[in-house]
Order: sequence, then C-alpha cells, then structure tokens
Amino acid sequence: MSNPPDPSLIATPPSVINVGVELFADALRQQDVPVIQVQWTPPDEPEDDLMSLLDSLI
Amino acid sequence: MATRVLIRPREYHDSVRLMRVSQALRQEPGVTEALVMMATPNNRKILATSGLLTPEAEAAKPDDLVVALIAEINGQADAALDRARALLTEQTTSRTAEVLPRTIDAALAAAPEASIATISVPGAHAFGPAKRALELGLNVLLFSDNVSLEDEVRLKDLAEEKGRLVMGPDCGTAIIGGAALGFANQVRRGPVGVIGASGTGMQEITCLLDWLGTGVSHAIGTGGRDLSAAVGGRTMLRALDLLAADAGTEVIVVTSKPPSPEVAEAVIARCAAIGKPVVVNFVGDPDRRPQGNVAFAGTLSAAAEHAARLAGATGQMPVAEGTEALATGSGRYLRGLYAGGTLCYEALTLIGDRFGPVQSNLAKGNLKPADPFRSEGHTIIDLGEDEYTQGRAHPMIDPDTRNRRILAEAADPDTALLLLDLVIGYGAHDDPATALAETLTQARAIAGRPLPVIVTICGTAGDPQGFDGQIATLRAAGAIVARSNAEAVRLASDFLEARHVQPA
Repeated sequence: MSNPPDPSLIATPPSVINVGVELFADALRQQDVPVIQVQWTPPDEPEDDLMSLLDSLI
Repeated sequence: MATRVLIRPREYHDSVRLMRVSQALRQEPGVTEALVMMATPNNRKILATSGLLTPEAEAAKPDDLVVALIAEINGQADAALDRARALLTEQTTSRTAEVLPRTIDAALAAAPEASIATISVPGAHAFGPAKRALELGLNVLLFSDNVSLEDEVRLKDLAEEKGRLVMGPDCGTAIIGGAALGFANQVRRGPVGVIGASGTGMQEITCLLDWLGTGVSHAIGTGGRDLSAAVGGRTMLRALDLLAADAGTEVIVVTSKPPSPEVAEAVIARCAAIGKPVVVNFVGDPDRRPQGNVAFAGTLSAAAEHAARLAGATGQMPVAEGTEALATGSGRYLRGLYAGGTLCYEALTLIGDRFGPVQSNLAKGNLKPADPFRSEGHTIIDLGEDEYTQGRAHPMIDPDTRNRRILAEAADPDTALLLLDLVIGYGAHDDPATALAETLTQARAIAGRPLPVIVTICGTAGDPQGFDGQIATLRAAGAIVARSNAEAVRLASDFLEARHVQPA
C-alpha cells in the first residue's frame, strides 16, 4: 500500500459540502450535521446554431 | 377534460424537486394527472402513455423541462399551470437569507472544516465536481452513476494520491461518524465497521446490527463497480485499511455482489491480514470455508447476525408478522418489485430456478423481460435500474413507478404473490408505508381475490419515519411484514412450494 489513507474521513465529525440533490442536505440538517449546499447547474453546452454561426465566420 | 403542456427550454431542476412539484400539482383542485419532468426519451414515453405527448413535448430535448397536466375544466387547468410556474420559480432555500455558493471552492471557503463532498449531479457532469473536491482535499461520496469506467479509475487514483477516499460512483449509502449520508438509517454507534459495494445491502445489515443490540462505527460505500476487474477494489482495499487502523472498529463486515475472481482474492487476502474478525458476504456466492479471521456469510441477514455475535450482541433475529395471510390465494406466479438493487439481486439468487425460470431485468439473455413494464411468469424486478429511472427520482424517493406496477400486477390473474421492499431512514420518502398501503388497498380491490403481499421493511427504531408506525400501517393494509430479505424470500418460497408450483 503506497499511500495509506488519511483517516480524515473518519477521524473528525463529518462536515459536508452537498452538490446536487438538496434532499441529501435536508437529511443532514435533520441530523444536525453541518452541511453547505452548492447551487449547481449544468455547464452551458454551446447551442448548435451558435456553433454553426461560429463555423461560418471562421 | 382540459390538458396543458408547457415546455421550459434548458431549465434544469433535480429529479427530487420535480417529483415534489408533480405531487403538489396532483393535489390541485380538479387535476387528474400531472407530470413535471425533464424531456428524456423515457419520460417522453411516460407522457405518451398518459396522452400528454404533444408535438412540442415530442420535440423537446432532454435538457428541456416539461410541465404536463390534465384537469377537469379549463379554469382548473390554468390555475394548476400557474401553480406549477410559481413552484418552479420559488427559491429553493428561502429558509435562509444566505447566498448559496455556486462552486465547491466557494463552499469550502465558507466551510473550511468540511471533510466530505456529497455529489449527486447527472452522471455526465459528475467527474468535474468530484475531481475538484479531491483536489481540494475532500473525501467524496459520489451518488451519481453513468460515470465512465476510465473516469472512475482516474478519480480513485487521484484519491489515493491525495490520501482520500472516493465512495462511488453509484454509491448511495454511507454512515460516517454516526451521520447517515445519502440513503442510510439512524443506527446505534458501536464496534462493527461495514464496507459495501451495495447500498441497500449495507442498509439491511446496519439495521439488523442495530436490532440485535450492537452498532456501527462507520459504514463505507465503495460504489457498485469498485470490485470489478478494471477498478480492482481500489476503494474497498483502502476502506479495509482505514477500518483496520480504526480503534473504534472491532469487527468488519464486507458486502458486495460477487467480485471478479482476482479482486475477490485480493480482498480476502487483505481481510486475512487485518488483526480483527471479518465477515465477508458475496451475495449469492456459494458458501466458502472460513479462513482464519475471515468468515463467509451467504446472505445479508446471516452476515449481520454473525458480525453481531462476534461483537458480543445477544439479541434475537426479528421474525415476520402476519404470515397467516399466506394461507390463501390463487394465481401462479411470484412478482417481486424492488426499489433496492441488492435486495432484488439477493432474492434472485436465493430463489434461483427452484420454481422454474425467473425473469428479471438483472438477468441476461432470454430471462430479461421483453417488455420492462410487463411481467411474464415469475418476475423479480429492480425498479432502481436505468430503464425505470431516467429523468426520474429513484424509487426509494418516488414510489410512483412501483405503485403503478403493483396495480398492473394485481390486475393479472396469474399473479399469486407480491414481494416488495420498503426502506425507511434518511433520504427515503417521508411516509413510505402509507403511500404503499394506499396502493395495496387499491390493488386488492382490483385483484378482487385474496392476494398475499410480503413487504420486507428495512429500518430502525431511530429512523425519522417511525419504525413501529410504518409496520403497523403495512399490517393494517393486510401486508405480511418481514424483517430481512432472506426471511421474505424464504416465506415466498414456502408459499410457492405449498401451492405445488413446479418448474414449467
């Protein structure tokens, strides 16, 4: 085993950053576990028509 | 009847939020159907079945949001549509005045003591946040599935480099320092550590440990694919090392579907090197002989019991209630409808082909149902699989898909017995027993004959839904309530045997 796992996962009381479904953050709050919710949205995909516009310009 | 279908292009909401909006709309005056969903191919099929696939809905893309509803009169339909708009634009966190961080970096700046990032974004977008979390020194619980194998290995190699752990992808359950993460139960703290590639498997084991009077130090999820040859058990092996070194863990349980043979050997070898007793449960694997400190258990419940005894617990295993309902019934076939994938898999392996071939979406070749939405012969389905959940919340949160299927099975005169799981705890539905009981009552009316239903409940006295109340509700609806999947399958098998069901 080259790099033994840091016990950070289990050594301290968990404190969570939640990315995605808020239900999981709600469940942690119900348990009084510190949690911070990240407001995540899907990354913008370029629009097809914008891409072909760019293609026609280049 | 008045129909309204509204498309909101490129508007994203997570599936749980959408499910809640759908449910709220169904309560609006005059509304007979409401579906609020992302326009994925599967969801478009569902819209079509309800007569709601308008040309606009058909043309919508998976990134577009569809609000579709049917009400008795126009005024009600318009009012419901306004309500939908209001619910969708509502701030999700109006309870606090804080501005939410938009990135993991910002979140860590606001909460520098954070130790774990729990990530449940659509699989196609999950690698980025998971990688960033690891780079920032966080451990990761990656609930998302449909992450590529290559990305999984990259993440786990990065975790190793950083001395951290990736629980996942496709990991829905963990209990760390007593905190239930994802779908997990309120379990007494104690000396048994659990490591699992199987979410509901870990849930059943930890709940039984609690019942038997012992408790859990930590329950670490590895993700469903961790023990494949390509991933090599990277997270499992690191988790074993972690629990080996943890003073609070005296006994370890490992649970998974059978790994690839080389990985199984590597895991067993690592277990043998730990100076603590280990109980290994490879679901459905034929029994292996014990090797020193490593014992093998064939079922989830046997694994829990064995570990509990090693931890010094003296409680008795729980027993099913209401089994007298198994004395009657007609029809020929078992219909198992599971929300928990591992429980479904275990049921399949335990029933085997004792009563003839069993169809399942977890099986291969001609045992896979031709139509995922129609049972033929003995059928046991994992409703958490992709064909049932695209663009929808998991059946442990959203009971709708399974409820519809229960009614369809009840209408089939060949259905002899229903086998269901009910998982409570954090992450699960607020009151799954009432929702299920209502469906079972409707099912009974549709069947027009006695139809035994076995429900395995997975939960603890500490769970927010109220364990005893959930059991009472199920019993009042006439269900037989089992307390472990193996017990439920045994009851189902005895029932089929007593009715002289022979292989076809």
